Amino acid sequence: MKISLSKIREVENFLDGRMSAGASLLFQVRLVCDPGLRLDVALQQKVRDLIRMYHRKKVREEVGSVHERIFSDPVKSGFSQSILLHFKDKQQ
Amino acid sequence: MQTATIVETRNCTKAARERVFEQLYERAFPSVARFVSLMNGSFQDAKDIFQDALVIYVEKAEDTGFAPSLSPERYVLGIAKHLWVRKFKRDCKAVSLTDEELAITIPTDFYPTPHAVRLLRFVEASGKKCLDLLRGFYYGKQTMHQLAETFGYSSEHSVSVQKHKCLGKIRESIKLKSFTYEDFFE
Repeated sequence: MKISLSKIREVENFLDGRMSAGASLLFQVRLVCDPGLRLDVALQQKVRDLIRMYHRKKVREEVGSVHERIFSDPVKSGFSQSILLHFKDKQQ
Repeated sequence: MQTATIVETRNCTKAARERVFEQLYERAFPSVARFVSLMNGSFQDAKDIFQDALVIYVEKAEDTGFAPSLSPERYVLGIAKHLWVRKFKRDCKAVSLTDEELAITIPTDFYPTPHAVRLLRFVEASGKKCLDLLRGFYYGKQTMHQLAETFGYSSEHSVSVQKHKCLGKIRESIKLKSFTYEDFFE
């Protein structure tokens, strides 16, 4: 069954620590008693984990393009050569 | 100080962020390359470890309250040493770590499981726009107003509704993928 938008908002507020102390305590009691709610929280946490992974992948792509630019730029060949020198006797 | 520059890049253009990465590359890569070479690693190893270390450094620097006692170059080198031990399952004692470097922590989930990689690929194929929106929300630290402008929504309310719809959509994808593949075949 699909989750409602209001439930998603409620779980978001819980995960972000945006609930009042009373509401948070009540939510935690419901978590103990309600396996469906536990699954909702676990899935929403998994969504966040996946977004973190996606963010890292995107930053890695940005960093990768910087590497390509530096190592193909003739102006920076001195820098590139100084790095490659460390590995000149090693099999690549 | 470099750390401050990184923090300020969260809402900057892609070009501005890349300029900061370029500076970090030129300042920090030489020491990481030297370290990997000493460990008998290849240029490719050095490149991979350094880029991973930079991703972790940026993630930490963009987090509020990050105030390292080390310079960015030394901090990135410290992360690289930890990654070297973790990635290549090397003996920690074979890598010399200073007290400051020992205090550096790296995220336990940094190298994702094959299941997580497949899951992300699946979600990317069906909901890239949602991933971009949620990435902007969680990591761009943009306001609802800025997100509405960036993603072409008419109001903050619309983008807020879309954010929750996206959370629901990705949640359903995860549920579907987990129940149709992993639970039965792994």
